[in-house]
Amino acid sequence: MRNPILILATIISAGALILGFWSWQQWAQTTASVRNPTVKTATVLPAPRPLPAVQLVNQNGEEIQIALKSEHWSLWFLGFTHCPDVCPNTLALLKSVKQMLSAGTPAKHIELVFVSVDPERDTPEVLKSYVSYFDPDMIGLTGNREAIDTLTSSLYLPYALDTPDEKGQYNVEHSGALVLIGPDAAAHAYFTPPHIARDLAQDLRLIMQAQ
Amino acid sequence: MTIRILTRLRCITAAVISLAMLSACSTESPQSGCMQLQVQDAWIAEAPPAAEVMAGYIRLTNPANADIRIETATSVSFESIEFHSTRMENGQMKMQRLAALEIPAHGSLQLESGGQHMMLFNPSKRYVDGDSIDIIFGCSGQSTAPVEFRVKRMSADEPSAHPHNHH
Repeated sequence: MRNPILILATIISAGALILGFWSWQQWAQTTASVRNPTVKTATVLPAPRPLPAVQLVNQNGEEIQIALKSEHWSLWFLGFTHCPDVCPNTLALLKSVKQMLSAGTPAKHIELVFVSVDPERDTPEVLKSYVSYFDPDMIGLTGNREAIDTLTSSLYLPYALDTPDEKGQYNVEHSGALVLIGPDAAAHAYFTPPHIARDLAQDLRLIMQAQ
Repeated sequence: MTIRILTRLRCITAAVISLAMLSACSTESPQSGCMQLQVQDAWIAEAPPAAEVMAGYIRLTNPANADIRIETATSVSFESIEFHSTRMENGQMKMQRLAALEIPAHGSLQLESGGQHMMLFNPSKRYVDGDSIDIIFGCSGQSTAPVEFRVKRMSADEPSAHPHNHH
């Protein structure tokens, strides 16, 4: 003898159970995608790496303590202004990435930072003229050799000054990578070349939203 | 029977190839001059003010039966011009000066950002988007006619692939 009420209760319970499981699965999936966004090109650090407490000088000649917290995320690139090919290309691309982020929904602001590892030629005046060509808000930084070395080794971005030629010209070997620095003054992610503006913008949005 | 036909065919083929090689040898020197070079998409990236060095890009095609080796590039607009190659090695961007640009017979060479390119030192003035600059290539005692390079500002979208074009 089967009790119809019992059967109905069983069906309702099973339904509730299925609905509950489905809701939980949806919630878990959403949470997971926020925590671990599917980035295309970035290498996201499992634990953000704090910037070293060094002092650099910006394009206006002001001393800047780089390890301080700020309001914004920033994208850093290391190079030198006598670099005719890769550096101008990368900085033009950064400008484009910044525009894509600010035009998207929701709009995201990111600061662009160019660090010259060639302070002998790249004085603050040279840096100012160089970075403002690409973006009036781009920050140019350089510093003494010790500060630059501390920063580059901390970010795992080695560089090397080549021997000057007969005209005194020299190249600087450097990394083509970009580093995403968070408002906590720590490196969160790396991007290695070749850089594609759209992919960069998409990954940056995902990483910044997940934090 | 079949073997004999095949052998004969082989002999004929070999003879044709030999003739072709003979005619190639008789009409071409081992290394061709620049006169036959074909050029496309010659452009120079606009540089920030006060930049002491600019970069030039071009597609060079060699329709001849012999390799072309470009040893020099000169222009009244620059103090000197060098050929360089950017390459990625262990995550580092390295630049190497090249003695010459080599364009194989019936082949082409693309000078592009992140690869082989021209480094243009000390421009005579600030060149901006829309300006034209003539460059002459030299090789094996010959030189090309002046090649017109157009100065272009990098495109905001994909700078390395597409210079900004004016229409």
